[in-house]
Amino acid sequence: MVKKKIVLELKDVHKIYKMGEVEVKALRGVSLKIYKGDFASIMGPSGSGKSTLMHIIGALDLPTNGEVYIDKTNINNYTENQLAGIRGKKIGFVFQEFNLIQTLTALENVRLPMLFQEVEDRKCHCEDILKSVGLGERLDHKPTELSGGQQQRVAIARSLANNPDIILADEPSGALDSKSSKEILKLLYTLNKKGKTIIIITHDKNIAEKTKRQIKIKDGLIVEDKNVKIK
Amino acid sequence: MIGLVPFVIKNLKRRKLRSWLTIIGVIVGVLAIVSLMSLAQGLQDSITSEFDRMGARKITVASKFLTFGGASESGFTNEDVQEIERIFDVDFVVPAIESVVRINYNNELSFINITGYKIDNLEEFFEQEDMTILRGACFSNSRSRDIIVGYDYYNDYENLFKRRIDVGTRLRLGTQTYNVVGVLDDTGDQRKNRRMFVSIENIREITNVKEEIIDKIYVIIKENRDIEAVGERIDERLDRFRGRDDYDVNTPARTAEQQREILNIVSIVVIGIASISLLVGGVGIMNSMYTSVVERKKEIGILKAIGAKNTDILTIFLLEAGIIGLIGGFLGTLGGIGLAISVSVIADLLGAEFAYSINPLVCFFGLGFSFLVGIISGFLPAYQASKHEPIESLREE
Repeated sequence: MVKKKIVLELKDVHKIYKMGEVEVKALRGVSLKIYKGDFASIMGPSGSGKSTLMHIIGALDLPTNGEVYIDKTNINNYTENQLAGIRGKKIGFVFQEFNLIQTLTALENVRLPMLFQEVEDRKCHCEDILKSVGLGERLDHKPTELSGGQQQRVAIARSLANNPDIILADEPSGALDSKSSKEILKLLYTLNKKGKTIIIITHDKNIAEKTKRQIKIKDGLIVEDKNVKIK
Repeated sequence: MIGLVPFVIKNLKRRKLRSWLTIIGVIVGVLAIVSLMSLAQGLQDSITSEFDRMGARKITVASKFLTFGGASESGFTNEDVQEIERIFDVDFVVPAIESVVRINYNNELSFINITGYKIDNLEEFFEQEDMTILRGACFSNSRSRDIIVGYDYYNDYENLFKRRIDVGTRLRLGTQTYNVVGVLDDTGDQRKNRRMFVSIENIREITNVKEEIIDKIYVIIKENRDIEAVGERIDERLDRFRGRDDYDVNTPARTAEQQREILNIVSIVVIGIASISLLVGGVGIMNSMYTSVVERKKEIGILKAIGAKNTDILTIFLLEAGIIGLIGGFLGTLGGIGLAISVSVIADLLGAEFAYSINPLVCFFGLGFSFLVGIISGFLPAYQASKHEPIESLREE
């Protein structure tokens, strides 16, 4: 049996927010391993702690207690600049609202993560990524000239720019119609088949059921973590 | 950092109107500074060229307390003149009296500036002063009522009298009538072009000045002598002879230096005031950047989420502020040069002389300083932007 590479590990992670004198325990001891090639969903209702978990997985925040390893590196004591480096190189974000830069074209949006990591700007690389998500004809279009589904494709392409270990998608089809939603999920599935590790944060059971590994979170704890076979 | 410049320029283009309004504030400040520096430099250059024109052989000894319109009680005497003449390096001396007198020409009454010289060596003195006779001749003797007029009375007379003054014209000064024997050529100096000249004896008659009193002593030194050293010797000798310090010994270098010092002080004050407008421009940049940071909080969050470090955010906003400053500096510099040229041209049309000087260093200063003002003004807003927490920023609408 081939031992899978662990790309992300959380060990007994707690996150406590202080709201004045009140303490809110968003995560109460989450332990999790994400393997290379996983196509996982993290599902939970509003207030379950899934957003907090996403922030910690995505190196946008650090835990109050516990340890976080990304690609076997403990990031607990990282500075903000170091975390930005992790986000730029190891994690590709896809947001519900696409969050493209409106003044830039599709191609320029995709190039942006490379700019911040001072990776040599090989034009063909970004063009190829956009072509691979079906937007080869839209390189010079601005977000306002693209449909919702197309914008999300650009966002996915941007997340791939630095060839990260993990694609972290927060409600990737939340702002799309059902047809576009299916197309986006299909695209993510295709990327996973090519070897990309995908984590989808969602509240939607229908979305979660289409992933191979289904993790459920409730009241700050993981209550279920199962692998399923999907068609 | 260079890779961020196209992104920064697109950001500025996105809010064109606001960017241009901010740039205008910088343009005004830089325009004022560059135009004033160019005009001040032009004046400095005029002083220097006048100094060069003055020649290296003339020293002026003048009373400190000269009153306008006539010699004062603390003027010079013939004995003072003789003391100076005894100095070895002195070639010759021309005592003078300057005054303003009433003139009647062709039933037109006016006041004119007039100088009376001792006419010995006068032609050589005129040569030193770049004053040449265009028409007629110099004085032949000191007693006849002869007068020499400056160039403008012959050439530019419409601004002075209705009729041209030429050789043979008769002018009434005081109670006496004078005969124009010579017209000077253009000296390039309006003060000389609009002056009349008589013998020192005649001016004493016109102005009722006591025989012994002299306003100024022009000293021409021998060739290839150290004019500053001779000036020192004159100063020492007169000090010993007169026993009081009521006079100035001015060499061309000292005169030019005094004028330059005054001009420098005036320039510093005026440019300092102009700098206030650039400061206001800087405040405009700061205000615009703060607004931008607030509006783009979500964008900052996105950029951080996709890997931008705090320093990247700081750089983006600093570059935006700096580019605003640079564009304003560039246009302000062009405008400042244009304004300096315009002032000079208009002054010339009005008959005044107001030189300008385009110094590349001033242009670089205008550009560099405005870029610096942009960076400094943009620093606080940029720093604030860089410190935005990504999670909080992403939550913004």
